[in-house]
Amino acid sequence: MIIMDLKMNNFFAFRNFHINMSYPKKIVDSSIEDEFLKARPNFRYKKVNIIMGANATGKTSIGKMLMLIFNAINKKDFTSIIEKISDKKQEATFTMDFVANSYKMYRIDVKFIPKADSNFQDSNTDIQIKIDAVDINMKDNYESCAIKLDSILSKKYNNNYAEELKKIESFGWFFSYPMDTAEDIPVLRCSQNENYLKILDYTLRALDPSIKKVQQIEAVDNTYVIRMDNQDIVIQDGQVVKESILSSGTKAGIDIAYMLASISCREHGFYYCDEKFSYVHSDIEKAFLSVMIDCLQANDQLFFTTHNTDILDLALPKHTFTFLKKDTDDNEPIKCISASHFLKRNTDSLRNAVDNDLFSISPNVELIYEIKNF
Amino acid sequence: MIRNKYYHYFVEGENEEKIVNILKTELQWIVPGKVQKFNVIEKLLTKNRLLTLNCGTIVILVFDTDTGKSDILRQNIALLKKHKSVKDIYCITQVDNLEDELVRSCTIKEIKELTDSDSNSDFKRDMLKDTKLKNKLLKCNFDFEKFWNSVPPKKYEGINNDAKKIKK
Repeated sequence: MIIMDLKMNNFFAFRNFHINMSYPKKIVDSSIEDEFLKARPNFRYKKVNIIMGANATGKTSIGKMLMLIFNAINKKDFTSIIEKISDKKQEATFTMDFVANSYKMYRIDVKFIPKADSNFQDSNTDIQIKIDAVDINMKDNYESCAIKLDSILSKKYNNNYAEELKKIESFGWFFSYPMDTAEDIPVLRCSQNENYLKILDYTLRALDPSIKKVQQIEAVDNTYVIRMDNQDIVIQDGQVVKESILSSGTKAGIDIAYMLASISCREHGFYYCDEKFSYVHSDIEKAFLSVMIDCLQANDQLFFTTHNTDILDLALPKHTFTFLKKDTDDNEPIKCISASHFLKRNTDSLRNAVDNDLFSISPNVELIYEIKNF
Repeated sequence: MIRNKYYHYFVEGENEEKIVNILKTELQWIVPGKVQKFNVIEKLLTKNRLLTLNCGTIVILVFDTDTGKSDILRQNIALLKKHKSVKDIYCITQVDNLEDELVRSCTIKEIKELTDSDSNSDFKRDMLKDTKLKNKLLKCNFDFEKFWNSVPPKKYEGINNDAKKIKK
């Protein structure tokens, strides 16, 4: 699954929000290999999307919205999306251009219109949907496919979304959020993945050198034991029994290992890794990210959100970085800023641009300094 | 090896903050740097504010000259000169204030014309709400050479207008 373009209005804190995942020209000697659709070298897409921004700028909400859209497509049910409409008296819309598993680019365009004076309970919502698809030919890029989709004018919106959604072929995904923001803590099952145990072992030992070994308990499904000098700690269904013994960073390592194992075994194709490294040392975060990038395969896509500006030092193409900014514009409160739009030359330092707030995205710290005056 | 430079702006208020952000981000006519609202004419800089400055930072102070006060400003400059993270200090002296600078730099007679405000006193409020300020500046033939280009009054003797150092 490759997302090429997302527009949404009136969901979470987003109004007239737009993010695009194509990039204009080929990068010579890029550190990210094959950043185009396999066998379609002109169809360039951002394989790695590092999203940064101050607190409450929507880094997690973008992922949650994508997850809701993917689930809605899969289950043919929009109930969960409707719950995230912000102003219940106004229309809410989203449009997404994406590639699933074949050489077709889809566009899904959905409107949620409240009926009468209702406030968006499913039965009171008029859901109108339009799904189009165009073939991606040998010389096509995203822009030419988008033009082809734009030119499909005759198609009307359809109320029968369950039927319309059948047009989209199935695809995989994996979203991982910080544990304290997850509404449901997922059960991580990796027993099919032969690399998982080794990756879990290496990950946890990198995060905590006092860990001697990680082993699987054969007798119990999805259960592992962390062997330390004086004690053993059990991980069952991705959850640590006796949590307080492990550091926050080590606990985060369980999810990190699962994400890395999924990427290396190509389990899902689309990955959203949301601030899993908040408790992890910067050098370790950089190392894991570079391994994740190296493990990505053809037609995979990774979204990675972080606050860590050391990530800007990685030798990645500038188009990899997207910054979110929240400001007082009621029409578009969250804006998406692409680093490559501002920094055109290879010698332009992204780190320096961010440190000097070239994009005007730095958080406002005035209130914090005022506290001293209380 | 070319060393990266760090700049840090201390501006008087929200209107100055907005104009600096437009000049550095949308127009890219001044060197980029983090911007903090802090009135260096009225208040002394504190240790916690300076602690977060990167080593080698050039601090840029943007302030109005209509109050005539300079004692606290001079104390702030002395504080900054002693601070180990501060490489240099540039002063941007707005004569007499931001509104006057804008009137001087645009083909307008009164500041309310820039934001199509009902009155001059509405300008500050309207400027903050305006999402198309950059376009309005260009529409009013904003001449950047004239902006921040005045000599400060005598009460600020010894303090130069260093705007040329930050203009690209």
